[in-house]
Amino acid sequence: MARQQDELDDFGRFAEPALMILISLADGPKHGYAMTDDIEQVSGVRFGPGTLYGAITRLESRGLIVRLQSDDRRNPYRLTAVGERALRARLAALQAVARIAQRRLANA
Amino acid sequence: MRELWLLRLYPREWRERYGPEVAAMLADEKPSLRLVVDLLAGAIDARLNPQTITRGASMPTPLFRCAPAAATRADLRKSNLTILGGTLLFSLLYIVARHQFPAARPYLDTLAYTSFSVPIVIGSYWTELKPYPPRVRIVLIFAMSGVIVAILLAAAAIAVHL
Repeated sequence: MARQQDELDDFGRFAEPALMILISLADGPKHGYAMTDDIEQVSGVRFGPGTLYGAITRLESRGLIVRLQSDDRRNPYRLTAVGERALRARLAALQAVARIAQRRLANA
Repeated sequence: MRELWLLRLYPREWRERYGPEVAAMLADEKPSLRLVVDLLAGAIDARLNPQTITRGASMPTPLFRCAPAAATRADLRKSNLTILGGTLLFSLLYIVARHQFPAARPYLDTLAYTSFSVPIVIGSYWTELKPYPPRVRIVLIFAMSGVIVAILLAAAAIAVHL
C-alpha cells in the first residue's frame, strides 16, 4: 500500500522532529524550550536547539506553524490550519502502518 | 552559555530571527558535547539549506526558488502539470472553436489569451493558494479566472466597436 505524499516528506532528517513539534503544538502555542520539554515528556527524546530550530525553520517556511509576537525573547509558535491538516494526514498514515504491523505480528 | 559563540556560525539572517530564542534556550541547557555537535550540525544545515519565511520574513531567499514556501515538490509537480495540460487544452479549444465559429473571432481570440493565464491561476491551487482551505481556493480560482476572462472579453468588445 503506497502512502500518499504529505507536507513532511521533503524534511529529510528533520521529518521526525517536525512531526514531534506539530504534535507538541496541537494543544496550544509553545516556545522552543517548552516544546523541547513537552516532546521529551511525550516521546522520551530531547532535541537539541540545532535540530529543533532546523525543523522550526522548515515548518515556518512551509506555513505549517506561525510565530506569535511576544515581549519575551522566547517567541511562541502556533499550529496553522495547513499544519493541522499535515499533522492529521501524517498521523492517519502512521495509524495505517501500525495497523498492518499489528496484524502481521498477530499472524506471526 | 559557553555554546553561544556557536551561534556566530549561523547565517546572519538566521541569527536575527532565531538567535535570541536559541540563546534563551541555551541559558537553560546543560553544556555538553552533544549540544555542541547539535548546534554545529544545525549551523551547517542553516547555511546549506536556507529556508524562506513567508510572514515577517527576514530570511534569505535561495536562488532559483520561485515557488511559494508552503508548496512541496509534489504540489509543484501538480501545479506545473496543470499549467501545461491546461494550456494545451485551451489552445486546442481555441483552434477548434475558431474553425467552427469564424464569425465570432474577436471574442474567440480571448480564449487564446486565456490559454496560459487561466491555467496559471488554476495551478495556484497547489502553490500560492495552498494556505487557504480547498473551498476558498476553488472560489478564488473561479473569481480570478472570471476577472481575467471578463477583462479580455471587454477588450474584445471595445475593439469590435471602435
